[in-house]
Amino acid sequence: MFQLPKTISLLGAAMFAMPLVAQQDQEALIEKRDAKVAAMSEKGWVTDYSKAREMAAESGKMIFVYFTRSYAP
Amino acid sequence: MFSTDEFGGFTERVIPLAHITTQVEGDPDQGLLGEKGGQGFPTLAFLDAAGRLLAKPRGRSVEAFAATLDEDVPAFLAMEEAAESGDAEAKQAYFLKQIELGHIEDFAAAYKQLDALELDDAVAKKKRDELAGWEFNLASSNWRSGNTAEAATRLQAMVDGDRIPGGRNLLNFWYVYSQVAVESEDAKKLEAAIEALEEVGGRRTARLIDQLKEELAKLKEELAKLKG
Repeated sequence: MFQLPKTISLLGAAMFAMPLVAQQDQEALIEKRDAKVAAMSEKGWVTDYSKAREMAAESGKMIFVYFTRSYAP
Repeated sequence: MFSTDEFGGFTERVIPLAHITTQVEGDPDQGLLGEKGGQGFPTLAFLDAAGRLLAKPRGRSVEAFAATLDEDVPAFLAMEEAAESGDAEAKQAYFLKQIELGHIEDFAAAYKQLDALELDDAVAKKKRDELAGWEFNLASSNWRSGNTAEAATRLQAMVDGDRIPGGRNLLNFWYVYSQVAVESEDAKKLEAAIEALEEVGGRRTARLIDQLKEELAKLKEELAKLKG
């Protein structure tokens, strides 16, 4: 069955005419995720949403969220 | 920009969260981008400790981030406080701001409340469009997070309540509706999605429609077997 990855944004009809986006295998995706988490953590970013909320509650600070992705080349 | 000292200084005033969309099955909070109104990467936003969206940065510079944090966020919080104090004008302004920021839980009630306000037609339309966008964001987010049943309920409520989004979200709506119908094995809804996609998508959705029709045929065959 034709399926777009659920995590991509559905931004327009042109997408439906594009070749199928192959779902990368989970092992490769996990590797990419772990690398991204490590890189962002090293730069001082919190990468866990629940943890960020806890920290915000404790400190009274607002969360500044940067939405990014790990699966793109 | 994120690697500058200036940005480093700014992050001392906030909790800097990098939310990573991963496509890894089972990873938590994968629908968060959509829930906060993001439609692409990168998206930036200010949230409070409860996870409520408070503001989107005015621009992509540390100066803009700071201005948002120092002016827009406090302005929203002050508006909230004024509304809670019972001031009618403040309550209306706060309600409209809540729509803009997606702080809506009961969409049917929000539409009713909006209709009761005597707004300029253009403003009312803009707010209805925002509501439809947020409701669709939530449904998509449910679907992307694997909550198919919740997504199905929300999408159907939108259809039944005549709250289907317009513009580019119209096609996206029927795409998600079709996928939820396939996952729920709901032939009737899949038929409705195919019909709508044929109407709004034209040639762009021809390939998708062919595949959905194959799915529909399979579903009907299975149903026939069950009945037989």
